[in-house]
Formats: sequence, structure tokens, C-alpha cells
Amino acid sequence: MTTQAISSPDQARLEGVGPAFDPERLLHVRTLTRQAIQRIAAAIQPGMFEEDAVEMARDLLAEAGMLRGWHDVYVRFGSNTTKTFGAPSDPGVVLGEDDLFFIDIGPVLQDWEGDGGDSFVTGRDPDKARCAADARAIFHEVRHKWLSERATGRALYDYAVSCAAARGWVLNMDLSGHRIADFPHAAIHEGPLAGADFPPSRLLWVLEIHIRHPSEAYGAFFEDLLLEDSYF
Amino acid sequence: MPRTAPPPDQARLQPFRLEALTPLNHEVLRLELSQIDGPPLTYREGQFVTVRLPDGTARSYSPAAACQGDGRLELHIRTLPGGRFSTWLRSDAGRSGALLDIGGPYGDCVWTPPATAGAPLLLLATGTGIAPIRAMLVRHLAGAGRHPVHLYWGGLDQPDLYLSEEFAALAHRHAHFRYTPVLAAATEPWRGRRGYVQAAAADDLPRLDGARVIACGSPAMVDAARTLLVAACGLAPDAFHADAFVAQGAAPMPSGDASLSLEVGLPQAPARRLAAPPGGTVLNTLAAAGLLQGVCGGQAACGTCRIGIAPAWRAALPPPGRKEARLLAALGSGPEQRLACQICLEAPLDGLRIELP
Ligand SMILES: Cc1cc2nc3c(=O)[nH]c(=O)nc-3n(C[C@H](O)[C@H](O)[C@H](O)COP(=O)(O)OP(=O)(O)OC[C@H]3O[C@@H](n4cnc5c(N)ncnc54)[C@H](O)[C@@H]3O)c2cc1C
Ligand code: FES
Repeated sequence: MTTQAISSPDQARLEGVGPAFDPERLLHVRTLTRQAIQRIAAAIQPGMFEEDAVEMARDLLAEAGMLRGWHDVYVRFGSNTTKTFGAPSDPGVVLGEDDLFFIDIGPVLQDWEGDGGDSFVTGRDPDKARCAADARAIFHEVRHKWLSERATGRALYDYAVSCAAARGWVLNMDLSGHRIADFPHAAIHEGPLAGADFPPSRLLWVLEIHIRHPSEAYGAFFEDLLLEDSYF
Repeated sequence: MPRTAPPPDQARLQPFRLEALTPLNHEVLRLELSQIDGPPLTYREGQFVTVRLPDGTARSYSPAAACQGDGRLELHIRTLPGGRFSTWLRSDAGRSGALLDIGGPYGDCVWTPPATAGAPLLLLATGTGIAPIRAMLVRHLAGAGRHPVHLYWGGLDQPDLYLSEEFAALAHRHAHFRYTPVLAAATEPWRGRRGYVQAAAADDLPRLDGARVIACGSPAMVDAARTLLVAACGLAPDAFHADAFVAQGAAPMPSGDASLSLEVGLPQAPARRLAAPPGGTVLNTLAAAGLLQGVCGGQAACGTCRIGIAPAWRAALPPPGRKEARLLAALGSGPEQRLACQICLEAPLDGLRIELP
């Protein structure tokens, strides 16, 4: 595995920012995003339809002035947690008593983008609880590699695959990190972090970890900015 | 040329209720609809209907069951990420009990026996292109005379061929019917045919003079099959019948026959008149002209496609749906503002005047 930093002529271009870039504001949007995820999760109860949870999430975000997003609002229940970004959920999935769900939002506040995801369980299924906890744990394992070794985006995802496998999960490489910036980051770079042959800079990239069970229909998701320990 | 439905305002629309929505595989849903009033809609198997969403979006679908004349319809719909109708189906609006207006039937891609006695009738389908073919088979197979009927159904992997068992059973019952599943990207061990349906059929049936072909599904397959079977197997060009499932919302701008126009006011430049394909969104047309890009992929999430509607046109637009209204409110929009990704262009909006910010 490559752990050495590869300097790339692309780095400056792919890490560009727009005219409204402001690290303070971006961090503020991140805080609001994490809080909104927790508020949405707290309002989700077993017995709810996924479609109703998505509507409820949009209402909560609208109340907080965070409805505008650079991507749609995702709340995935049960077997829909294995679906990749953008894929439609199977309709009519109801959250069970011993179930797993995740939230993925990308709100835009004024000119600044947020992006966050987290997974939650209902009840006491130990495997599902471990799945949700492992998505978060793998995120931090990979983030530590970034901090300690200045590894490239590509090496980080090679490592994420092995971290997931070591814990018995499969990593979904369709969700393999991306830029974040002043809105819209898509104007600068839409490619995945896993395709970056240079060590990503802090605050400019989102690390996404989407794992699923190798044979059963559930998975978990965690994503946040690449930042130092003090932010977590 | 793929046929498209006439603009919905010219069509006779009948109200239907969505009775049930069942997943057939990871992306295909079965819709069971029943007509609420009016004389029961009848169709010839192989024809299609247009389904109109409450917001005015119209899409074509081919009934997947034989017509009973009882006002019931079965549709098989492959949901596409970001697709307008697909998104509606996956949203909470697309629940059983929802009301939809349906027009039609249209089209003449129906069961036609081969011109020459004993020559085969070849049916080709990809994905949900199987829907009209299944309807035809259910209606005609038992009485199909003695000519051989060959069905080739293509998908990427096994789950795509969600009716394989049903066709295998039909083949078991009817000696003159043969079913060949073809996978382009099988992941599990697969002992069946690989590649594309038209190539598999051309290998098995190298002589198609006197035969008839009906092809339904992806426009790429329909085009490739016509070319290959005429050139390599001697099929008469007029013996090839097809319904290409062209995506109306995403169809690239037709060059000559766009029948609608969109008038675009620009902040620092003279207004422009754009040709617009019916059934597409205002954003599709603006994006094709390089005037506006939507960041969220038309999900009514990002607001980057917000435009102004000229006063004379405001009343002509269907009111915004819940998702659009909520985002417009969150953006502090005035009554003249709408999301271009949510406005479907149809005949009544021909000449619509919008203002870019
Ligand atoms: C005669 C006829 C019969 C049909 N019968 C059936 C049927 O029985 N079953 C069925 O499932 N479908 C059928 N279709 C297709 C159907 O009408 C719709 O086109 C389809 O369901 C997609 O509708 P949508 O609103 O979900 O997606 P749309 O909003 O129309 O979007 C289509 C998709 O194309 C993508 N896209 C964007 N740009 C492009 C581009 N430039 N080129 C290509 N794709 C792009 C979009 O992201 C989206 O995913 C039929 C079509 C025709 C013409
Ligand atoms: S494209 Fe994002 S709201 Fe229309």
C-alpha cells in the first residue's frame, strides 16, 4: 500500500476554492449539520415509514433555515441502508424495533456547504449496533492514517477497504469522499477523494465510509470533514 | 424513429387510482391501477399509455398484462435515480391511493404474425421492455398458430430478468415458444447466454427473411438490433417493429422536430428563443443551451435552477408541489419564482417566457 505522499500537479487545481471561501463559516456549517443530524435522529421512531422520516427531516431542516442542499436529504431505513448515494430507496420500508438507519444531508447555508452522515440503531441487535459503531470507527481509523502519514486519497481508501474487511464488512467504493467548499464545490472538482494521488488538505474534503454486511441486507454510513482530533 | 405520445392536452385523460406498488427487483416496480370512472380504457397489447403526475409531468408506459376491458392496468416501471416520474414513485406521494390521469392508448407496435408461413416471430426486450412483450405473449401465445416464437430478454445480471421463471414455464407449456435469457454482465456463475440480445438472436437465427421482429426497451438495443438483423440476417426492414423507451425528461434536444419553444429573458443580453422537447423540464432545455446548470440533479434540493416566470404565464403553470414549495419558501422566493427543474414543458406552455437571474 502506498503511504508516501505523492505530490501532484493537480493538487492546487483540485483543492481550489471559490470567492466566498471562509474556513470559519465552513466549520460553523459543519457544526450546524452535525446538530441537525442528531435532531433528525432523535425524532425517528420504530414504526415510522422511511418516506415520512424524509419529510420530517426536510421540515426540521426548513425550520433551521437549512433546507437548501447541494444534494437531496437521505434517511434510509433497514434494507435501504445498503443503497448507494442517489439510488432510490425501496418504497414503504418501516423502521423495526431492532433496526438500523442512517441520515445523509448536505445543507447549504448562504454560500457555504455542509455534508454529514451518521448511523443509528433502534433496540438491541448487537450486530447492527456494531455495524453503526464500526462505520464511525473506520472513519476515525482512516482519519488517523491521514493525520499521521499524510497518505494520499487513494491510499486512504485502500486502507478503508482493509479496515472494513478486518471488521467483517464490505466497503462501498461508490461513496468514496469528495470536495467541499463554498457552494458549489462541483464547480471546482466533482471527483472522488479515493481518486486523489496527493494527501488531501484539511477542511476541503469529506471522508465517507459506507459499509454493508457481506450477505445480509443492512449497512451503515458515516461521513464528516477531514479534520484534526480536537474537532471530534 | 421512436414514437412519442401526443401532447397530453390533446389526449383523452381518464382518472386512475394507484392500487398497489410492488417491487419486482432492485429497480423495477409493478404498478396496479384501476380506473375511477368513464368507459373502461381498452388497448391492444403492445400499445402504451401516458401517465400524468399531479404536477403535469407526463411519461409513457406500456401495459404488462393482457387487456381485460375492466379498467385495470398493470405497469412495470424501472425507476431511475434522478428521474422525475421515478422520484415521484419513490416519494410518499407515490403511495397506493394516489390518483393519476392516464391517456391513450397510443402506438402500433403490436403482435403481427410473420409474413411467411413457418417463419419465426422474434421478440427482443431489454429491461422493462419486457412489459409490452409479456402482454402480447399472454394474449396471443396460445393462439399463435404454428409459427415459432422466440423471446430474447436481456439484462445486466440475473435480478434484472425478474420474470424469467414465468417465461421458462410458458416455454415448457408451448412447444413453439422458446425463451432465451441473455446477460451482459453476469456476476454469479451463469451457464446461459452472455452479451447482447440482438447478437444472441442473430447467432441462433441467421436467416430471418420472411420473419418478423418486435423489439422493446433501450433505444440503443432497438437501433443496434435493426441494423444487425437487416444487414446480417436478411430481415426485411419493414418487418422490424419497435418501441424504443426514450426517456422523455432527458431526451437530448431533437434537432428538427422540437415542437415547443421557450423564451428566455437574460439579465445582460437580448432574450433568446429555445426549441424545447415536449415532456422535458425547463431545466433540461436551459442546460442543453448552456444557460443554467442544476447542482442537485433536479431534486428540488439546491435552488440553483430558480428562475422568474413572466406575469402573463404564472397562471398557466401547475402550482408547485410540496417539495418545490417548501424550498421556494426557504429561499425567500417571490410568487414569480419557480424551480426550472420542476416545470415540465407541455403544449399548453408553448412559448413560455422565463427570466434568468
Ligand atoms: C413508447 C414508450 C413506452 C415506454 N414504456 C415503458 C415501460 O413500460 N416501462 C418503463 O420502465 N419505461 C417505459 N418507458 C420509459 C418511460 O417513459 C420514462 O422515460 C422512464 O420511466 C423515465 O422517466 P422518469 O420521469 O423517471 O425519468 P426522467 O425524468 O425522464 O429522466 C430519465 C433519466 O435519464 C437521465 N438522463 C439525464 N440526461 C440524460 C441524457 N442526456 N441522456 C440519457 N439519460 C439522461 C436522468 O438522470 C434520469 O435518470 C417508455 C417510453 C416510451 C417512449
Ligand atoms: S436543480 Fe436543484 S433545485 Fe432544481
